[in-house]
Amino acid sequence: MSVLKRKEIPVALFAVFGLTVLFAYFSGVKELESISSSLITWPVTLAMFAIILGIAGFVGYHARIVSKRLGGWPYSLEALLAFVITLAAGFVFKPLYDYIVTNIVVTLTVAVTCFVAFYNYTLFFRATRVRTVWVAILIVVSIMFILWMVPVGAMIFGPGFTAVVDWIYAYPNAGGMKALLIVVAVGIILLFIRGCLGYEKSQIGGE
Amino acid sequence: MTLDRLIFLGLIVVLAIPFVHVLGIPIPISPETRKYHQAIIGLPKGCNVLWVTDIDFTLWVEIQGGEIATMKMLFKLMKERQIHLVWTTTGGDTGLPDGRILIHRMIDEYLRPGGFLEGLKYGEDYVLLGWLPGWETSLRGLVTDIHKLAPTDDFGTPIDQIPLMKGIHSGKDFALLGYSSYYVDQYMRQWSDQKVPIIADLSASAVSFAKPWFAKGFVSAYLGGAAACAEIEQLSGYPGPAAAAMDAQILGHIAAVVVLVVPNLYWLTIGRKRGK
Repeated sequence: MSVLKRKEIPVALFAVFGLTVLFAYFSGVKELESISSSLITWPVTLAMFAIILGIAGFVGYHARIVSKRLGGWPYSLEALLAFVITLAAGFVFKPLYDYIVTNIVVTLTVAVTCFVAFYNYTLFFRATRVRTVWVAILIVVSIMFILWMVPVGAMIFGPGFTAVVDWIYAYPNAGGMKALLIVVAVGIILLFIRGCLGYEKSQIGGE
Repeated sequence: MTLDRLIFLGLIVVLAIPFVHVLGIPIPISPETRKYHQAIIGLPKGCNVLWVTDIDFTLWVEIQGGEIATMKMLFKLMKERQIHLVWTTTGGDTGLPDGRILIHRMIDEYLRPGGFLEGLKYGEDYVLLGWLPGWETSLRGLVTDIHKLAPTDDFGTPIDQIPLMKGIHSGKDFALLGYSSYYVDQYMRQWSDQKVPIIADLSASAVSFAKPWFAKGFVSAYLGGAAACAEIEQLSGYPGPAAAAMDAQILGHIAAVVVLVVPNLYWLTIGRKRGK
């Protein structure tokens, strides 16, 4: 088997670099911290190459649809034109680029985000039926939070209402959130150990 | 489908009410917002402030009011107490330069037209470091070696040539670290060892993460969501987009409660018996 196809080399690199960063963080050895800092900045550089790869994939995909007149090709043409115009504006004519971002990108992003709110309301309507005690608790707490987030909660139920929701926020909710984060962190540690030992290969293209 | 459309229509009607009739419901100020306000107006004369705008366009909708009011307060203090501001973005979790675009938008649409830049000199009173991608890596760099992280400012000028940056090298050179974002833990991980007060303009969804840090004193103060942004606008004396949107916010939230309660009342009283 070709050396380049062997899985052992990427696994070894993963383990060496991962352990270097980990050891630098906990040991406090200055020389290692410097190496670790450099290693941590590498993903930013790699991400730039990922953007180039993404652009190539995007252009290739839509160009194929347009050239073969596949279904929805006008949309692909529109996507390609939007991409080329924005890219060219960014390099050649900055005021046009600023105009596109401020008046088209920002506005459309905000519109799409706000559009989700409408679906949330239908979700409230369709997905919440008090079939069990647990669902009832969930709905009551949800209503308390919804009212707490705007001044009407305290206006209707008095200042004690705010104190109760604050307590729920600060203790049961924050506790649950922290527990979730700890579970995720332990999971990441296990994933790292599996990666170092070569059992986890998804990051190098394995199953 | 018809019911969905009815809900959509009902929501549009409810949210349109403030355009016809302003409700003007008073906004009580929370203790967290008062502390946030105090953390800014209590800044000592001549100090430096670092602000990281790590918000994308979607979060901008929710917390722009807090961000704009904060900047107006800081720029006012630049004139009154000669404080200095280093303003930048790391792109947050998305890594995108949205924050840089929003910084310039705030300057062009709110600070310059409002006269907040008059009498101030770029490079001496404030500096824009632009987009510093890398999120946590960049957050760490901002408080360990800012000159190494950002060799030039947003306009390509070497920061060694910028008068304000000559006296700023690490987190210890700031009297206040501030940021706006969806997140809390990532900023605490990189900044909390600096022993400098930290304030945050956060999404409402981040409040549960902020509470434990706030209780232990790592986060000095925070704004949590649109309502808190309206509070700081009111407290600072700079009413803006958050206060303007409060009526619609309140009606939208009441509509959510109605959509939760009414179908359940129907289901518990009639629908369950009919098996609907």
